[in-house]
Amino acid sequence: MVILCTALSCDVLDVEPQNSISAEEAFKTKEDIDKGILGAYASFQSLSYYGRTFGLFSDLAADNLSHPLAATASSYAEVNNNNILPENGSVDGIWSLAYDGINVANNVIDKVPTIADMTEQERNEALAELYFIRALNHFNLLNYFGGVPIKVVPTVGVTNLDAPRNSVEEVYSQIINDLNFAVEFLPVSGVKIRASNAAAKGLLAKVYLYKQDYALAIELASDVITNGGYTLPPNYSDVFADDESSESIFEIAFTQLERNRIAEYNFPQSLNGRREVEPSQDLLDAYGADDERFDGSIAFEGDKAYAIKYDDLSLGADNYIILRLADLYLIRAEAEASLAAPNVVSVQFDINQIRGRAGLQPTMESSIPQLIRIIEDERRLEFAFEGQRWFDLVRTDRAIVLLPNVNSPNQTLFPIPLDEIQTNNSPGMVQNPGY
Amino acid sequence: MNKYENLYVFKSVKSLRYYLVNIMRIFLLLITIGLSSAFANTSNAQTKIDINVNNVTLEELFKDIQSKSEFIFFYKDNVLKYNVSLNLKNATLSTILDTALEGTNLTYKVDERQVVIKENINPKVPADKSKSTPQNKIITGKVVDDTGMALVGATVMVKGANTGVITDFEGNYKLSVPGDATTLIISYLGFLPQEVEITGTSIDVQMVTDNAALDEIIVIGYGTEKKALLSDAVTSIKSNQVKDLPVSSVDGILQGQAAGVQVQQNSGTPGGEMSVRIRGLSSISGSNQPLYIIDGIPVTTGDFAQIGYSGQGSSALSDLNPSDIESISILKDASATAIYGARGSNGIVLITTKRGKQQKSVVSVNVYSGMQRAWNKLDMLNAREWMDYRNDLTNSTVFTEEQMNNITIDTNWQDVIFRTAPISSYEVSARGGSEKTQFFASGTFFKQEGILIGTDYERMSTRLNLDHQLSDKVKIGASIGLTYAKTNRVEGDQTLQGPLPNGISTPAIFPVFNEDGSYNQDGPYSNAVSIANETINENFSYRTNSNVYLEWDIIEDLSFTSKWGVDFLNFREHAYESTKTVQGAKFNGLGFETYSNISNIVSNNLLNYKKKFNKHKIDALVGYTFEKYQFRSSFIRGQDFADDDLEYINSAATIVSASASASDEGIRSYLGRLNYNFDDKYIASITGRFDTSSKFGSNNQTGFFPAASVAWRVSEENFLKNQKTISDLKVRVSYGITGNDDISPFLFSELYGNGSYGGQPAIFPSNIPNPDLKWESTTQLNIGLNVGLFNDRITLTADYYNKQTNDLLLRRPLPSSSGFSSITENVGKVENKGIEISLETQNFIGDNFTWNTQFNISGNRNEVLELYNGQPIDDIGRGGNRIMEGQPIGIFYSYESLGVDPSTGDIVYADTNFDGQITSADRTIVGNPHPDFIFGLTNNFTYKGIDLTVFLQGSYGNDVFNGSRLFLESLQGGDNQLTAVTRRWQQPGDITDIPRATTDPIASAQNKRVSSRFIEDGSYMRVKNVTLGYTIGNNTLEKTMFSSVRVYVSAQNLLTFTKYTGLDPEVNYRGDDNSVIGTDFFTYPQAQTITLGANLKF
Repeated sequence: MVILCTALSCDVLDVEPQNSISAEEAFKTKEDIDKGILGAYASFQSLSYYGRTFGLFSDLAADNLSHPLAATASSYAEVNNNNILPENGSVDGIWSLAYDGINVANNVIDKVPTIADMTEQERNEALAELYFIRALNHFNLLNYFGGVPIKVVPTVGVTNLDAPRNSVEEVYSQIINDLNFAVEFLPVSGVKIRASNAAAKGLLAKVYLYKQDYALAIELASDVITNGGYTLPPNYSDVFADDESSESIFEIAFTQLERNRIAEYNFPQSLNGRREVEPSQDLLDAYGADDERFDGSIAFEGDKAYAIKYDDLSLGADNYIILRLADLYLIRAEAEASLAAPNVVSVQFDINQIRGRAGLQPTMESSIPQLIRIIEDERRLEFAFEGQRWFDLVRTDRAIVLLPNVNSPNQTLFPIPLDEIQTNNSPGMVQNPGY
Repeated sequence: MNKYENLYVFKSVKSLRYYLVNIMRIFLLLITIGLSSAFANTSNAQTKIDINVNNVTLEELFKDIQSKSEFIFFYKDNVLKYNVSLNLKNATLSTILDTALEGTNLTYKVDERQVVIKENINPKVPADKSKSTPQNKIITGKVVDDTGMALVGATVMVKGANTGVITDFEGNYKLSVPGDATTLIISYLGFLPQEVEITGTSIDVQMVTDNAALDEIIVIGYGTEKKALLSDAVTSIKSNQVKDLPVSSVDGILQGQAAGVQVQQNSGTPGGEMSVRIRGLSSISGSNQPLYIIDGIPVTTGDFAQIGYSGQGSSALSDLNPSDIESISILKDASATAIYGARGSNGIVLITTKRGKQQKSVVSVNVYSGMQRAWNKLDMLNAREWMDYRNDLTNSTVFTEEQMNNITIDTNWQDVIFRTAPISSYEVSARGGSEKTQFFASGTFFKQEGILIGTDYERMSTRLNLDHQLSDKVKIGASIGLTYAKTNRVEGDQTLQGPLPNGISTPAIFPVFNEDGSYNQDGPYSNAVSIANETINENFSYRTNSNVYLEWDIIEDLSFTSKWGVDFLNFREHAYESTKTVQGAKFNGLGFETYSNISNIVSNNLLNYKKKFNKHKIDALVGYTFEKYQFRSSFIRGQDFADDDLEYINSAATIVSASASASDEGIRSYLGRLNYNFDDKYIASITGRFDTSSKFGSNNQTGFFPAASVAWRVSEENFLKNQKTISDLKVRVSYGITGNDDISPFLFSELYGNGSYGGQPAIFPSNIPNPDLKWESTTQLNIGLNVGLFNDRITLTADYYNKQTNDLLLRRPLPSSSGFSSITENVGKVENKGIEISLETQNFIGDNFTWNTQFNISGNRNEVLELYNGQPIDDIGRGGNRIMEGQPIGIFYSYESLGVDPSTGDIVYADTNFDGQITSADRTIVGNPHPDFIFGLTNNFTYKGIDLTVFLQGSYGNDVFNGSRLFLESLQGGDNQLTAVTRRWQQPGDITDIPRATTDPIASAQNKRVSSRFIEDGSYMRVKNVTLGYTIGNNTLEKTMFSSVRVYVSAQNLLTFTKYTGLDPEVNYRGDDNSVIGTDFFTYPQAQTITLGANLKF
């Protein structure tokens, strides 16, 4: 019996993790790197991120969505009222998940040089994809929170985690560096649920527009429009009818396993939704009578309007579009219109691509300030419920003008989540003004 | 002295010396102690003496008697050649001498204090003696215990004589007594001796358990110890203390029964999980539940449900049938718990199940059946009040005066969701055995419907405990427990899918059903009845808890025990939401199927050495144990069901999610204990255990947990020995270190988790490595006092403890900009200090009437001493619980409401930092969820066959966050409201505590902030149980098949006294959580239960 005991008990301590992979086992081959890259994409699927909240909040903080009186999520009410508390859990979720994605990407970036069976080109392609993911996360953080800590090394221990905030300029510079690498090394590809060369160029065009580097924005947008091979489907509603439409450049994959809950929060209770958000009356009034985008974006249950771009309530398996061709037309139009000497015809051409598809008459407007307003309105209607409106209004300083609840520039940045303020002991981690 | 005719010449010198010494001794005794009893005993012959001698000469015996009494012996030098062994208690001199001189040629004569021993020329054979007594008569009868079970081997003696017999296998005796005998004395170990007057020739005796007996054997870690000799803080609960409680699980039984043990029934869910805290919360991230051990084998406890039911966790502990329990020992201090090493910090609950006895087989049937109802309901707005409120809220005429005067639908939703529900239990057990083999077998069926629609629990369990003496030296045995349990649950409060929150929150204007019979879904939340009736949320537990053992007496004093146990738990959940519910309709039918398989294999191997030489006693134990724990689970979620009648996943068109997971753990331990005892007076104990666990990091894989205790039994000292007031006085001190290892495995290593993206496998870093990770360690000092007065009619146990927990396993929050929100590290310190007092008194012991009382009270003070960098863990749960240095765990930290501004009708919050605005920095401590003290008070009365038990239990000084009021006094949205809102602010100048009803989104959001407005005093006192029973007399039963019949009526939660305005003060919506404490959020209230029951024995 003593022998039996001894034999068995050595065994009891000899256990291996069954649900996780030990670090030594995780990265050995180029296939492992690919799994790691997909792990970085997986952060985007979180409910706090593109799975729900990230996109909804941009429309909700602006004037496209509002929070119904009968709805219950107080974190949504705060965003609707532009009166956000630093302890807002949903805002914390956006912050945490974006940095989660950055950390996963950084982790794999660290491992790429250690893999023996990868060629130089394979390494660069893998890094390019990871840099793209890191850039998109940094860009998203920048747009909600302003200058945020730049993270380019993985977290492997608990030291040096107290990161100061970087300036907006520094964050832009990091994003642009990452995207330039991605543009150089990402292959041209028809895959839309992973970064492609066109996705990198398109995102970089958008970054330049936000950063007001208009010439570069025009150059990159034109490159994608001309060489990307993407086309606008004639019917607006076809953009969202199926995954990977002809105009989609980059989208986040959702299957029934990784379900998004966008429809759940939009749909009224009578259709089994939660209706934490509803299209604002202001938005409903903004559509022209013939605008086909209205029916492509909004449906009614009784007198209750609700957004339908992402309408897979049951499975939540509709991909979320991050970048599509229409965006590049309007990026180019806005950048052109913002140049010192804009080409009015070129601006009109791009706007009318979008208006024409929506079943509207082409604009003949030649006043540049008026064209800029038209672009603003077109962006609102074209990208309603796609998580763009708040960023558009903030970057153009139009939020205070257009949004009744926004009375101070302080409100145009979300608060840094309280948890970060409390745990990040860097003197450079300071709360945004007014919180 | 020479007046005695046959007096032999005595040893004059020796006797004279004895005479003088004894005179002086008696004199001193009388003066110095002055006991009235000494005076009362005017007749020396009635003096009672305890004698316990083993194979001594008569001379030694007489010396012993002389030292214990005033008698002086006179005898011839060479006549005392006999050796005797005697063990008599409270015996008169004549009894002692009759017994001692039986079979010798000696007789005696007593005159006052003088006893003269002389040789008898014609010694009588004892048998002849009884025969020759002319008026001898025969008395027969039966001796039973307090439950009516026959007592085998009880001693029946004639008072004042040496005649006695022992009861036979059926408890019967037959005794020939002298005609002038008046009283029988019946004694049995563990029972109070009884004196019965001799009337007639048939005398049945029912013995009463001697609860206070210091001879009581207490189960401790890997062994037993006499209560009197314990140097540790251990509370023992006997099964008869808690019998007949209509409680489904062991943890429920512990409530209010032991000082220092706080049991909170977080929810009234049948079969649900409770929080048991022994001496406070010592862990923030790990479990605070004690380690439960059944018959030496640690059991798996906790909630293995994979479908969340918010706060209504299932409890693996409820698989044990409470009526199989013989005793429960609660080990509290380090000296008692250190033998469980890395798992000892939260205290240990040792459960011993009933085993067979050498006796005639007894079959017991215990049944009860009764009804339950909600003891409390909320005062909600009726339809008219609701309409009035809505008009005020919207400042418009939503409802016209005509509508308000012609209300046709006024649903009282609480009456709809709560019901009067039956509860019943049927148990049959048999117990008996021969000299070689003993058994206990039981089978129980328990069924409880919940007072909330859609909930119920049923359990079938069976147990067989066997012991067999294989040879003189080897004993083997087995304990086999099998259980099947089925629970029907409903979702709780965290979702909008729970019948309770939905029912209470739905305004009275909505009917349950539409006219066409379909569910009305027009309310703000899914129809509560539709959820309860149209969803299936079942879980099934299939449990085996068994062990086999071998005991081998290797040589005298040295024994070896090997026990191998298994705890297998198969837990299956089956859930289906039909399309008739909002949730189910969303997914066109939504189904879940989950399995969890938990197995724990335990081996305990112990070597025990007991040696007694002179007054020294040594009891040494070394042991080697290991455990292997395996967890496997699977989970499937499907939707798009073909038909609502097809509720299993094979009918689902879409499998949304299917997964399985696994985890293994192992512990290997060496343990030891050395007890040293001098003359039962000075006691010392040293304990230690080495635990090597697969959970700990490579740098700290083995931990050592030592403890020591000493006790001084002051009452055994000579200066206290000869008085009658203080029967027991013991001082105890213990000190030691124990651990808490409750962390997930492999937290110490760098790990990658796995998932998928776009249908392809994906991996991502999931854990920051920490090779230094180890157990939490708790250092505990315990100072205890045991006092027994008046032959232990009053016993007091008092303990002071100081527990310092270091190296907390803390999920230390990290800046989320790192990509991780936390890491598990050994940081932080928590302190628990407290006092526990238990008092047991036998207030009245009469022939017909007895009354005894057990009272316990304890107070614990918890304080977080250190967190990582002083960072608080903030805003946990719905009520704003917080963990911060200098405060108890889970203090309520939120805005302080100053009340309603009479001019605006809005709540004003305290601007605690005076910066002119209300921000999160203004939050402050607004309440403490921990009680100042908890108590339990039990009074037992018996009058002839009637018994009455009244059990009170309570908690004082704890705050509760009434989160339901966040919605029910929100004054916004579509929720129904409490009638309290009828006193809301309506116009400037109104002075009230309820703010205005407004649609202004900012004002209304500010008014319903989590704040002190919702903190209430959660103190309560419950008349937890009242049981009135009647035992039918043995005479009545003589001609029936029954040997004992008792019927009773029992009321659980009969009365509750509290100021708390919610449904129940004893709540926590998060269930057994460490930091979300005292927070009510539409939590299932407890039931008030009335049962009728019977205990039958054959």
